[in-house]
Amino acid sequence: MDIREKREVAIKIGGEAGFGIKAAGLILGRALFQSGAEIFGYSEYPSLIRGGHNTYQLNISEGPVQSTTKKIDVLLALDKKTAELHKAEIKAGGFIIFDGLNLDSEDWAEINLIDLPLGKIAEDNGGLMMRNTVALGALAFIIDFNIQLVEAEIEKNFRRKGEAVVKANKQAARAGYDYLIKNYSAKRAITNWSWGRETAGESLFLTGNDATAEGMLQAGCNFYAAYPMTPATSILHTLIEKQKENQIVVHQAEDEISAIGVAIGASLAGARAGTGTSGGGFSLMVEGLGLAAMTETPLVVINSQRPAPATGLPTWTDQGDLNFVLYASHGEFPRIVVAPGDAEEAFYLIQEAFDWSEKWQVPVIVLLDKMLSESDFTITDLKRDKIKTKREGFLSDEELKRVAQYKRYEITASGVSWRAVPGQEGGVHLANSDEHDEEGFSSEEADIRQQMMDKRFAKIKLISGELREPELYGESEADLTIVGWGSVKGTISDALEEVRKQKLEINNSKRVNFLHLNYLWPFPVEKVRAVLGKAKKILLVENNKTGQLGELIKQQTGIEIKNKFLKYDGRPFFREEIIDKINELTR
Amino acid sequence: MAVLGPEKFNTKVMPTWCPGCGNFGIWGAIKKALFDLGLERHQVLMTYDIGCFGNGANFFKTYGFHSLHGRALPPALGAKIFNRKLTVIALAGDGGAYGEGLQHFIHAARYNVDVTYLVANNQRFSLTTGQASPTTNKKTITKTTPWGETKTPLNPLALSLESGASLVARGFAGDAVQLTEIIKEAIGHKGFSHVDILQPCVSFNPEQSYEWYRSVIYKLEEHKYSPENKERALEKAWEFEASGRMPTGIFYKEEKESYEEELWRIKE
Repeated sequence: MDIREKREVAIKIGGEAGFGIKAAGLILGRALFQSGAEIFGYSEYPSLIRGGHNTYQLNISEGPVQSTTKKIDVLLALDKKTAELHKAEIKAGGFIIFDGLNLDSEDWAEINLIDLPLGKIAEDNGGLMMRNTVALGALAFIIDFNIQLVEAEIEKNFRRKGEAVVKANKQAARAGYDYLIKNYSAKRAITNWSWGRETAGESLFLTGNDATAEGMLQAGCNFYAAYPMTPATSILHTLIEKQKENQIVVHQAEDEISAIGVAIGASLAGARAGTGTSGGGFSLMVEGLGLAAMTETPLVVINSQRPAPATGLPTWTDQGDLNFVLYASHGEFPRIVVAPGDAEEAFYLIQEAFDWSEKWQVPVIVLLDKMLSESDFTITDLKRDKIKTKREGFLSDEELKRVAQYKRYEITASGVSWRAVPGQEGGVHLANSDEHDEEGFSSEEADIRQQMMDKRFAKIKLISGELREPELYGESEADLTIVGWGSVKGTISDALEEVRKQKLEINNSKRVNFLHLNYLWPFPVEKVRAVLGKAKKILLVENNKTGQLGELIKQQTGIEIKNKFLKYDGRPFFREEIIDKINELTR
Repeated sequence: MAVLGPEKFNTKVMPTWCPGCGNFGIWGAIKKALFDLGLERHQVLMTYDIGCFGNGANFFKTYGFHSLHGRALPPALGAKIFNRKLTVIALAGDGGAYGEGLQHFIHAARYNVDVTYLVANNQRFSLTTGQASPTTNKKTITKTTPWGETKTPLNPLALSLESGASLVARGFAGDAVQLTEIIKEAIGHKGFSHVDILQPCVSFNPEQSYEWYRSVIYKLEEHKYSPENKERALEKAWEFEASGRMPTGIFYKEEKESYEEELWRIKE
């Protein structure tokens, strides 16, 4: 589709925690997705269960959309605070839907005011709890969306609660829709959508964490141990739910120290094992990371970052753990650090993470963040068999019989030694956290220590050659090259599209591209040097205070990036912010 | 080929414990128990703490995992949950089991995972040359308590009983015959088995010598004790504090479904 014709509407639902804000937003999002729209869903909420201010924003588009915007078309205010806090975000000509708030019409001059008796309609249809459902109906009207599709989604959502609940909610939504037809029939933010995803593969509307969990199952991960910590927790929830139909066994541990230890034990016994947490939990896992490395036990560790240190901002986003995971642990050992940029990448890269960890017998750290973990992404072309995931590195029982003397840590050119797992005859050995000889026995001999360090580090060069290189998006020659990693990808991609659109519309000559890094360690020196070495102007975009990727690039390539756009207020980058920055630097 | 006895669980490495160390008796009892139970080397996974007893990692020919200090249990749990056919034994000293790794101990007992936890309790950190441990008695002089320990020692058996362990026992390193039987019962028991083993440390704990232990201990099985009653077991766990007599043997045993069996049942 011509990007100049692609239309998008941003809706924000806001209110107190406990109002069912995200639940309502997701029903609408899923209904829209079913009918062919592409949606990006972004939630903001405090770290508490009731009270406090929550929002859920849906950016609904006729084509790809991967980011959230500062400006919105429709604000659904379930309380007065929402109206006050988000007034400035509503575009001129936009809408606010509210219930009986005395909004000063002069103050709100450029906004369409839609006073909808949410509470009354909800009560008439069965209870105040359904205010959010009434609002759903109204939203469907405002964006010219078939109410029957919303009702169908309501039915799916409430089926488990019984027929009466389904019926009441359908009625409530319909009543909200009808109220607007009757009283505000001319008020619509958009009409006549023209969507229809073009895809050869599978389409999904899901969070980054759910995509990660799906990828784990796809990779044959059969063991997960974790302790709940926002924003990684929903991986645990999803995997537990899927335990029944899948090969995976999930253990909720007493703490993160135990979670990583349990995962290591399962891996030792032959499982494809992983664990996941946020930065605080990762801090506790650090000793286990070194244990996995020293014993050469494969392990995938997910760290979904949030603003830190200490408890930080539990429900907000940040990319401050890059340096930490690159260097975490005492001593030196090879590791792999990979950061997906969106849900689709999370699905593929978590599979690679399991493969690399097993192939090289090194820990692999997967970096997510709240923006990626908890936002809802539209994937339009998922290919389940894209990553040819496979198990490797084990000796079969037959092969073990032929081995005269099995050595778990046999010195090889690649640094990788064959594994035997407990239960296998002929493979009895000690996996040892002490420095050890080839058989695994503790050794403090100088030459053995050196040989074993060299053995483990022999892997690093070979790993470097196998990892996928950073992707360069946009024009091959550019006036500005943006560099980023992780969840900034979606926002930068959408901003780049906006720049292309401006170029078509006003015929300017801005040329911008984007270097997106997935594998951060071993660092992709050659590709980064090749791209940045000839870049005219570079902009670093990171959700942290110190520009950690920038420092890593300087350390590894000698290239110093002067333009840094760093955000560390717990919020992700909004699309407009990147667009403005690009315009500022390409003026 | 000669049929091997318990020595089939020996490695090429000879123990490096001090002459007279209680660990020798425990080492022998474990090997004998494995042999008596008819277990093959490859069927057993032993996970080890860090410390004198943890150094035993090099002396047992079974599958082994030498973990970190306080962390013998988590890998043991992971392996057992994933592969229920394995016989999994975790070995630790009092420092690792009751200090650094206390939370894992309480929770493994609570989960009732089918792992046998053998704790060599010498009331000292001995590999680091004799500091006070969580089980050191009050007023004891050690390197870190030159004016006498002021903290109250922890009662490991009362703790595992209260936490839900389904087999709780105490053995004595100086009585390999009884200890072997206890370990056999613990390994054979389905569920979390905790065996606290009185381990004389000849280098850093002169007070609790073999002779001293022999003067205070008695065997429960010789007193018509039956280990079904938890309250009675708790009384026995506190008996030394109450009367200066220290029972050994099986304090408590209960049949209940183990954690990993329950976890897998949802798939069946």
